[in-house]
Amino acid sequence: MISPMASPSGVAIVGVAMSDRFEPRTELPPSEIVYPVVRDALADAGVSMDDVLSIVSCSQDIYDGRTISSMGVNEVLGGYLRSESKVAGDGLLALLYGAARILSGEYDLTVVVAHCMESISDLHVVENAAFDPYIQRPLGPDDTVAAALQADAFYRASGLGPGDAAEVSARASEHATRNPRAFRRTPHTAADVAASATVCGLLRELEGTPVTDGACALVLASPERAGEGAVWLRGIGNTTDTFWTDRDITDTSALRHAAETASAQSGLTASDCEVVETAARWAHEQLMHLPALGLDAHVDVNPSGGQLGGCPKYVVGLARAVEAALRLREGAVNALVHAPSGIANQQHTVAYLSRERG
Amino acid sequence: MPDVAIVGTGQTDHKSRRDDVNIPELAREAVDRALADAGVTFAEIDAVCFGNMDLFEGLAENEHWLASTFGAEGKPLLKFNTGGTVGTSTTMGAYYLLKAGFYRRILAVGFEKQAEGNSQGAITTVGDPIWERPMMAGAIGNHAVMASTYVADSGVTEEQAAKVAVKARRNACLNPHAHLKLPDITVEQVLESKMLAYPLRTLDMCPTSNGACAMVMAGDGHAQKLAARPAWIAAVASAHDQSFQGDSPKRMSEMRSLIAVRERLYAKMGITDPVNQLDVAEIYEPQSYAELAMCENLLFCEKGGGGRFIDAGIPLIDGELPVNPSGGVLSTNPIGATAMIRVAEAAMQVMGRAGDHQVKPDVQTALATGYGGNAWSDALILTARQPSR
Amino acid sequence: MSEPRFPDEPLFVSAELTLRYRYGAGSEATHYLEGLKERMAFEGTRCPKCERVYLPPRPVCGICYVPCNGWLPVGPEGTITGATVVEVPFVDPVTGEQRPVPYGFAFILLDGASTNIFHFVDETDRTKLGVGMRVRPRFRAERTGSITDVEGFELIREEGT
Repeated sequence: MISPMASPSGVAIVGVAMSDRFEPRTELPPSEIVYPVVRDALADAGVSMDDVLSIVSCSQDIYDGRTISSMGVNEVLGGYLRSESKVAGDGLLALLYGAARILSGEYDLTVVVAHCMESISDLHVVENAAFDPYIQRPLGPDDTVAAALQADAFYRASGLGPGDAAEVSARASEHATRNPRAFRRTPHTAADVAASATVCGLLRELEGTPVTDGACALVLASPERAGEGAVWLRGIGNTTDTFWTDRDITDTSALRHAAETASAQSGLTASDCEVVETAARWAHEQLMHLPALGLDAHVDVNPSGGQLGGCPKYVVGLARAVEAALRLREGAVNALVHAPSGIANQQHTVAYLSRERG
Repeated sequence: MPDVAIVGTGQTDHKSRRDDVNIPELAREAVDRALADAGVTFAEIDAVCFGNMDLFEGLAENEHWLASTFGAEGKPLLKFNTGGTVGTSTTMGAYYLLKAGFYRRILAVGFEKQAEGNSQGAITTVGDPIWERPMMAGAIGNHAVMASTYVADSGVTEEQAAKVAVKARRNACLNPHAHLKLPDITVEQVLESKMLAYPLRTLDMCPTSNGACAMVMAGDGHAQKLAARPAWIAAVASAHDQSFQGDSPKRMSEMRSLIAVRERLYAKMGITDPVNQLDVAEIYEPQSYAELAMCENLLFCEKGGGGRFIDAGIPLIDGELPVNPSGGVLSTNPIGATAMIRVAEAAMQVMGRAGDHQVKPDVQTALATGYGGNAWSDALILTARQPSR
Repeated sequence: MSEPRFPDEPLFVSAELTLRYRYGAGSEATHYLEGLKERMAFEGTRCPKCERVYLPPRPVCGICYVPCNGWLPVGPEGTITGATVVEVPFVDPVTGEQRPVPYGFAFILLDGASTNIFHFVDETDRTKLGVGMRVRPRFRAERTGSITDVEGFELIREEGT
């Protein structure tokens, strides 16, 4: 199948913006977190909201404490009389849908925006709501429990261990100190990780992700609308695995499949990319993901500091795309972007971005 | 940019309760029927789009739990939960993904098993927690206020609204899937039903249903292999409004979002005389007065003419422009599926598969709308003729 | 192993989900709620481009997509644009209890505002409540700087009625 993004088609990223810093902002309603980000992305793209007719948003109702969470932010993301639709999943799925709106030929511009408030609820209760209601929820699991089970299973299967995850975490924290948006401000060492509090099973506090709020937006454009300096979305794949207890949670074949889809569309592989931005809420996940992306597990990635530096769930995938786009504007040629979603990372989206149209 | 069509649909028989199935089983019923209607198996489906108000059932991110129910292993899976419009949001998501050329065939699913949750509790969170929630009076209070503005503007009478309620439940008798089938319903019965909030009586309101709807959608080249007469999606439009429930001055009688989508769709399709140029309409009418107001906003009749429109019998199933021959939302309302049911029913009309409520043998052009959120509107036009030919 | 036997009655798993949120009130709230508490007065935010005055107040005009640039007093009186008498019980989001019925409920356009608020109205005879009627707010005697400092609205009745 010919890639939908092959010339003369194409999807360009012409504007990007993120919250100044991902951090708890409990005092703000989502609308005040989303507005500056959409405003700044439009300014970065050099377009006005008057030029925009299409918006794809991304948020999770149960985190916002509002059903139809896009209603709370609709006015500030340009929803008035425009075609806006919300994807309830990771922000990279909103990017897939936004790209589809451009490739359909019906819109030459589409704003894609994701937001999440992690700090306003009890995450244990919120995360528990995603588990099987009949036989799992009553036991009280949350994402951390699933991650701990996955870490344990992964270490047994791979021969890697908490020390390897601690190294990943230490490197991420060091990168994060150079990223003004990251929540973490001071680096820590692998020894610091090992000495930090036990959260669950083998998981230590410093190898996880701090709780943050924030938003992130991109402006997508058709090739006719893209100017100089545009970054191109060359390929994007999404693949779902079965629910976590129906599969081997060390298995990363869904990620591999998503990466292959994106590779087939773009003609790029991980080794072509100077920049790799891959989301991992716990450090061991990165050790699992990199080989499935075609890289060595210990390769240093995420110049932004990644999710471990602090970035909210659901925003994190789109934020990886924004960070990658910024690195491409600074001189890199190709970038690989990835984010998982679902308990024990059931679903994966992988995208290739490039300064070259291909 | 291939044309996109609906090539198969399936629905559960919508009911007040479905204690005989759990949530995955309920959804799967509609999925299996849609696959059968399209003559495909999961193997032919490239991606899944799923819509459901999970918070109503006290669930979150349930697309992951339900991945196997939809045959989504190894495939892309997108989830939507945009409120009343979720069924049309899901349909439009699938439409754009197919039109982009990303996939060849997509399964779209929507459902709600409201008997198992606290819909009122979840719907309360629609209100802004700071500015609106303490004064909320529920969906019925809001709808009644909107209806009162429409009554003041148009002079529509209780009897005229009751005729809409009668039309819906009688049409429902011709639809095996419909929830509220009332063959002997009369205007008098509607006017004698319990007053909920003036002017809305029990029989003026939609029910709460448990049910599911699914559709198989395909791109050009693939659709033709699956259906002799695909229902092509010729135009889609969507518009939203401002943040708060009182922002739109005449929220129902001059629904800004519906007027906006109407203008876009009719311009694209060259529709200047909808009663004659449309063969059938499946519109999302949450209550009887709303259907008449929506008909005005869709230019099926002149402004303020909704009452005369129903009096003249134009939207009856044997009228010049049948509106909701399926029985509409007034007969069936599983929220996660409702807007998709509008699209599926419109598709069934174009495909000639609507059985006893098929309005005529050759339906060329059908309109489907979605409504929800803060007076949001989605609309699609389905045609028998392929758009680009 | 024999065929599984399913019970004759369907099994139900009961669950209660208690969700607690700390909702951020936002930048307009302090000013507005202070006005309610200290002065029993309403103010809306104004769009510099279209000059609409918004209630509830908001930082951005979604129609023009520009920030609102100031406050303007509105009301306290207003006009009913839609009204009903609610007779069906509803769980009050503030108390968690069923709100007693019947009660009047309306969309109200405060004088000078471009958008409606909705609130309770102290009339339960629907023949005496309608679009176009004038209302004034009723404030609590003890105000705390909360949206509920406004208890409801009362019809401005002509002398002698």
